[in-house]
Amino acid sequence: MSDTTTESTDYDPELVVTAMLAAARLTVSDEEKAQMIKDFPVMRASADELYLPELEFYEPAPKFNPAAYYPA
Amino acid sequence: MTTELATPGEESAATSTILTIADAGEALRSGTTTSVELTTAMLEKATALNPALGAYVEITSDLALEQAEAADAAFSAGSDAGPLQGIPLAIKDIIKVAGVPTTANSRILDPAWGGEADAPVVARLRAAGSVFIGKSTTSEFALGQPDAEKGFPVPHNPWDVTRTPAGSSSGTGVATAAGLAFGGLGTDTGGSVRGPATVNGHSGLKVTFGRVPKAGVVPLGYSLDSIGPMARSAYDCALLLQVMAGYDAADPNAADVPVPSYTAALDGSVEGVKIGLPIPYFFDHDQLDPEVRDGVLSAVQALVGLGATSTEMELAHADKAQHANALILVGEAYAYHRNNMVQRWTTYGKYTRPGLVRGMFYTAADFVQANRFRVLWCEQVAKALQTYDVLITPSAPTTAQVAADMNPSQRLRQPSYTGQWNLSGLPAICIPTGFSSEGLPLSMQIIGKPFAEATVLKIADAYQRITDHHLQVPPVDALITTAA
Repeated sequence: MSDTTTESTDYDPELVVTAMLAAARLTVSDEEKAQMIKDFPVMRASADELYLPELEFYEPAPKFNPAAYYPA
Repeated sequence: MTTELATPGEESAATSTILTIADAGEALRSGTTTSVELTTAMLEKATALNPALGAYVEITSDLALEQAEAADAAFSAGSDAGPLQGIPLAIKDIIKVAGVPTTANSRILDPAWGGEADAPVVARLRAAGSVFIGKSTTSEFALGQPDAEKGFPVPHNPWDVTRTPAGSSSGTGVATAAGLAFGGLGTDTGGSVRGPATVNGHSGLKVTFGRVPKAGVVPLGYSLDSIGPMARSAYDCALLLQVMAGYDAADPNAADVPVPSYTAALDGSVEGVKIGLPIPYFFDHDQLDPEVRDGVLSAVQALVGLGATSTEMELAHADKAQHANALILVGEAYAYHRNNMVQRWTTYGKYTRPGLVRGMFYTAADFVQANRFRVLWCEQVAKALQTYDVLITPSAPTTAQVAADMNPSQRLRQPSYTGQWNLSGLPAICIPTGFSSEGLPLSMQIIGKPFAEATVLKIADAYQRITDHHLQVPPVDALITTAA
């Protein structure tokens, strides 16, 4: 049973999802797309919440060490 | 179609009472049983119950008996490779076993994936003399729910076959609970060892990131994946981990950190252990089942009775940590699957593809931001673990859900208590705390500092010395149909 709630947004999830699927060259069923349109605002909101002001001076966890690719 | 099966009734009294790896080891060394006897009984039970429980993609009978015979011959010759010699185990079918196809429960994957050699962790189990009962079922590519239309066995919870066995290490979880293996390997990227352990009523350990080499495993989340032991008891998990752990150059993320004795510390004592209980989100969420919460708190009180202390505390942003883990997971997974998703969308299971495609919907900046948040979360948890030896939380907000009611979209809208510890790379074990009013397993999760598996195992073992929830066996024999 799919979730039937629709989150309120200031953008059109259907436009966004349609465009992103097209750009990604993914062909999905109408039912799948409809669920993605419902889910996108929830996903987007959970990502937006991570943009915390206190992360101003934080660098990402993965670190790049170019010397690792050369013999010691 | 019915199957006439006399073997479960004919199983010897000796083998039918052996529940753990430790017990099996004693029985093997005392001559009460042999590995061939244990393995034969387990193979027959696995074969009889697989139609109902779907624990195995492939039961490797010939290999298992060959290994069992070798183990018995070694014992007879006075050669003892250690506690896993002769012990039947399940291997999750995203982990390479030489000579056996790896399917990841998917029609996408070439079964010859990974080449001919064992994954390093499998090679270690093989060298330790263990027996491989089979490749256990997994959520497709370790993500999502099974799609019966794809033709792979669908795993079912042995306590209630209408309920989910959780994933993605479903098969090893089901096999361990139902006595179709003494334990085995799972993988955990967001909860996939701990979830099955939780709802199937046994122990499952997610290790520190890098503790066990993950070469030879179909990847899900490169910076999150871990291979973990699953078994009835924490003690058995310790026996498995002792063999599994350690550096291997084949895995660029493997940690070159000494491997301690995981059983040496299992003395039943938790005197002076400081337990932190992060209340917000983990204990006060409105979707948390009160029976689950009460089971954890009761277990914590039992540990306090043994000399531990517990303190309520806070970890800010636990919900965001769950989301960050999920975002990183699907981002890393989608990168791996992108070409196949474009070219072979419908070859993926119908529950897998909506989960995987989420990696496409997030932006590159989102992925970077999740990894910036990851540092904040790690710092916060590390600060807490300066005060406490471990944190304890519920393993999941509910007991096993009815499988027919589940769908991938639900997971976006439910709390979850496992991904936070993949995000921070910490060891976390889930163990049973009892049963709900519906007879479903309850569970708690013990989280420790990096490479402190010995500590979380010690606490779990101490609890299991005064309880027997982990030794309960679901009444699976009723699932075997017999000829009229």
